[in-house]
Amino acid sequence: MSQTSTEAPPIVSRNTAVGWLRQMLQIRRFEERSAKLYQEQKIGGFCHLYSGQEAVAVGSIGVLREDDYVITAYRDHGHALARGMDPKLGMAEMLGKSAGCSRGKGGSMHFFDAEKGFLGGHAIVGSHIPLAAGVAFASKYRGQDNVCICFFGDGAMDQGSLHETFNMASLWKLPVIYVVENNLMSMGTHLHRHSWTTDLTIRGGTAYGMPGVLVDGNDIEEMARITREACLRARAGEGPTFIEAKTYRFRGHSMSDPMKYRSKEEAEKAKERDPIVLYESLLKERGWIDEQALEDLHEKIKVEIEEAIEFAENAPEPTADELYQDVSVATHIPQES
Amino acid sequence: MAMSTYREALRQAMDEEMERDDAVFLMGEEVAEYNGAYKVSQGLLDKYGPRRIIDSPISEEGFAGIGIGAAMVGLRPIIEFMTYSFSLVAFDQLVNNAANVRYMSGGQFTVPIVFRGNSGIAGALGATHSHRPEALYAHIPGLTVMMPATPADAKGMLKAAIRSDDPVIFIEHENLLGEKGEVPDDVDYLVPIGKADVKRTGSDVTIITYSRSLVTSLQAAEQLAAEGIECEVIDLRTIRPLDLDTILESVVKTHRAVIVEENWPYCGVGAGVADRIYHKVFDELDAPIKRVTSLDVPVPYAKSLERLVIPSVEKVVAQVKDVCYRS
Amino acid sequence: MPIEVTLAKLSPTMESGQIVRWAVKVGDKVKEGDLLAEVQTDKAVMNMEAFDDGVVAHLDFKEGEDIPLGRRVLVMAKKGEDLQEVAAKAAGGAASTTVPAASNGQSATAPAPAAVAAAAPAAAPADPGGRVRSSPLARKVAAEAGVALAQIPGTGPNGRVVRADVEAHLQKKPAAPAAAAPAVRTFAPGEIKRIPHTPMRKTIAKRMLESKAASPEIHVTVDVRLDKLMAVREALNSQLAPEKIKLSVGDFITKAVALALRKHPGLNASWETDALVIHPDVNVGIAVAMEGGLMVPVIQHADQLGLREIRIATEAVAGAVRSGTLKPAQMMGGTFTISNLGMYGVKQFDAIINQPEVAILAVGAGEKRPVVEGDAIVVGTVMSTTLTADHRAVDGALAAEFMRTLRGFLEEPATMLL
Repeated sequence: MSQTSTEAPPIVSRNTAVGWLRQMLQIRRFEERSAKLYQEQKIGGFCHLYSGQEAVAVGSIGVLREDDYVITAYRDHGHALARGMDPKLGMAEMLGKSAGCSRGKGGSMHFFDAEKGFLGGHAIVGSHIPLAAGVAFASKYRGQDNVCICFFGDGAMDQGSLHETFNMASLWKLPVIYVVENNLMSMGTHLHRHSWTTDLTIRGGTAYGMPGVLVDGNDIEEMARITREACLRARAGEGPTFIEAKTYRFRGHSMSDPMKYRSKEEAEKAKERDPIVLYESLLKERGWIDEQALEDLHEKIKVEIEEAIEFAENAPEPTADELYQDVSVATHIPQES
Repeated sequence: MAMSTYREALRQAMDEEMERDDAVFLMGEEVAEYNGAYKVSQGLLDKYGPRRIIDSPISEEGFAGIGIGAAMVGLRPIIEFMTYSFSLVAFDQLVNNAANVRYMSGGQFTVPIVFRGNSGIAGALGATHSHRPEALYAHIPGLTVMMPATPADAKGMLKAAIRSDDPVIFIEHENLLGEKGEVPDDVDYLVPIGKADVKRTGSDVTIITYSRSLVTSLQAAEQLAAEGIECEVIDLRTIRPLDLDTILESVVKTHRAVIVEENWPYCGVGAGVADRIYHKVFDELDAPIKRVTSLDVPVPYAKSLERLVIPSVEKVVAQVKDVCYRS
Repeated sequence: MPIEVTLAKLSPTMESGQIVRWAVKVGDKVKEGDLLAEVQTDKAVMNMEAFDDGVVAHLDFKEGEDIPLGRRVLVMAKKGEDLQEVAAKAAGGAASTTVPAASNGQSATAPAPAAVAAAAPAAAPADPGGRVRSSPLARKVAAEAGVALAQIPGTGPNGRVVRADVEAHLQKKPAAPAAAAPAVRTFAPGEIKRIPHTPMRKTIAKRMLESKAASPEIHVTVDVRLDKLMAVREALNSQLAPEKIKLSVGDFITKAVALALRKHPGLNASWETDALVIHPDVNVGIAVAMEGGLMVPVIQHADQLGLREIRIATEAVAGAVRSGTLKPAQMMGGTFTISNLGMYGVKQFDAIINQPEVAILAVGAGEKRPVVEGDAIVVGTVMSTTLTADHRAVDGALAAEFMRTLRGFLEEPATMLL
């Protein structure tokens, strides 16, 4: 188990650090504007927001190589943006346009970006955990040293697919990094009510013979440091790592969640440890950014997300003939009358 | 051409494709050191080693998903289910991931994978081990479902499945594994996906079938010929996509159709096929389409009961006569 | 063991047949030699007779159904056998549907009411609401033929009208009676009449199309003066009058053709893919029209027969054609065919070769025409006749030579004696 420390020497350069802050701000703005668009009924279906958890995605994905892979669950906007997806493509997907990152076929829960090595956006809890092992299997099969990082929530800890896969990933020493974003909530069920132990490193790490590391998910640089270590292990052929990132979901499970299951106090307390606020303070402390630059950064992000929304709103609706496209590589023959 | 069993034909297909393409590997329970629970993969570990012939734990959902992940980044896995009854444990992976990833990603990721294994009411295995899940999978857009009935088709179809860029549900039949037949040696012998095969020509009635029921249907056709009824027997081979052209051409000729399958009747493959026929050539039919299916019960253990469940030659003969208005 | 009667081969090319009329019904006593049914083959309507004594227990087919050769069509119970039991076996268990209680004098037990209802499918084709049960295909065929389904007895389950019922109905349907002359001339909408192809029609259609498709034809026409022939005919006919034999011009043509074929064996031949087959015998086929088609009975060894024999043979086969009693053997072995439409006043026409023969002669009417004799125009009896020859086998010169020979024989009948 690692202790977080703001006194440790920085593991990143100033440029990288400011870049990370910028990404976190971008994600936060993207999510908050999505909430607005959802309420305006421009975004449909289920919409799960990542606000409050930004440091987990940005800190871990931030240390990956370009040829590594990222795969995540349905709360996927943050990971896609952290991996460098253009927010225009993400927003267009939210609005169901064919200019979207999944051509309007996936929606909020199913973001994909092959160019960035972003393998989705998977909405059945735990279902993508074997896929991550498969991606890692392919790297190993080919004798390559790229890795796959896989994110999921604490709810997925209870799925069979996770336990089957962890066993095989460890057995075959696959270069995969599993990150559970423990926001204490399996949808609306608190961790202590859905897991026999609240220490997930035991269930996910110890049980399968892989290192289980607990990290403060609000500490972006610690998140980065731990992930980097896991990458080194994986690239060296030493197998998978399990990281439990303690974090907090500022918003409900989805847009229709009134959050009756947790107290106002708990939420208020969590917001005091807002990862963005923490990192802004740290960077100011280090003298890497000043108030003016910070304000400019916020302003730039606002403009960027407004442009993304404008792009998405102006993008054409998918045409009916796109309906049958991309069902299969071979020509899809609809089994209709 | 050489005589081979259905089992050997499947092995030849995997062997030839693995030799041709290093991206192809075989993973599943007991495929390597045990040489396959049904000996389909016999000898492959010796030839290709543990990197490409991989024994998995009994974790169908897990290794099915591992196969899909590997396929998403360009490998061409063959995932063996010891029997297709066990694929139900991996149903989520097959239906939600294999079938959907390409569509949901707007065409950015493809899943060139083959899930294969045997199925069928093979004999005193009881309800859990006698599943015929083809209708479940044929229901799903994005999946290809193939079911060979002869050794030659087993080889040519499996090779085509492995070369396909789409996920293929490849369902063999346990009772056909020992069937012998001429099998082409050509390393590029491929049976096109989505192409049915007229296994017997006839003018009076069209029998539409696949997998082991082909054997039953051909026996029935033989018996009916002696009584002056000439059956055209169509082996679907690919269940999805359906080769509707071949079916309609025949039904327009005979004006009668009987569908024979080991599947359950309700929402079975035959229900879908009959629906398509009714829509397309209603005015060509001189009798309602009849179906011979398994009976609508879980598969019993006792052989005397199990025998009642399976489509028999007698049942096929009776239904054919019925659509011919003959007694 | 009950007696099973199967559909017999009643013509050389027959592959299937139809019962035009059942002469017996279930329950009838049958003696050897009794007529069982009239059967339409691809050539003719033939009588099918009983070879055994018995009681009819089961009929396998309805009138009009197409029946493959060798298929069982009727079952008879032998003396001492239980009719009901035989019928049940024959019908595969459905005894009461094949032995109506009314015609079953042997069984005292009354069949169940439900079975009686099922015994008369033709009686109730429609349900109480007036809806006619029918197969989609039957509806389509009926609509195309313009007949109402309600008129057609259904033989399928629950009285369903199936295609075979519609076709059987169409074959039986009489021509619409002429309407009485109306006071004001109005024109009732006509009814399209669809005549389903008989096996003979199908055979003619198939063979003519094949012939046209296969052979590049040439046509050679000559005019033949018949004055001398007419005189000889008159003389011979007066001699034959006591025998009530009257030679026709056609008989002379048959004889002349047969002799011409002897001189030009290249036309007494069959075309095969790899060889031309020259036949040793000259057997002349004569096209004979009949209702619904035509048949070609054969005069065997016509070159060796006298005119009297030719007349007798021709009369015999033509009569058999008209009465539907032509035997398969009488249609076989032809090497050349004559088609004569002279009796209809046709001046000239072309016939289609009866493959695999290589030529056919089309004969027009003998008629009085102006003929140039020297420098004068006189009236003479002249007949135009046209040879259609398969150019694969017969070149123009050979065709012309044949026609010259034929013309010679006909214009100077005495030369036929040489």
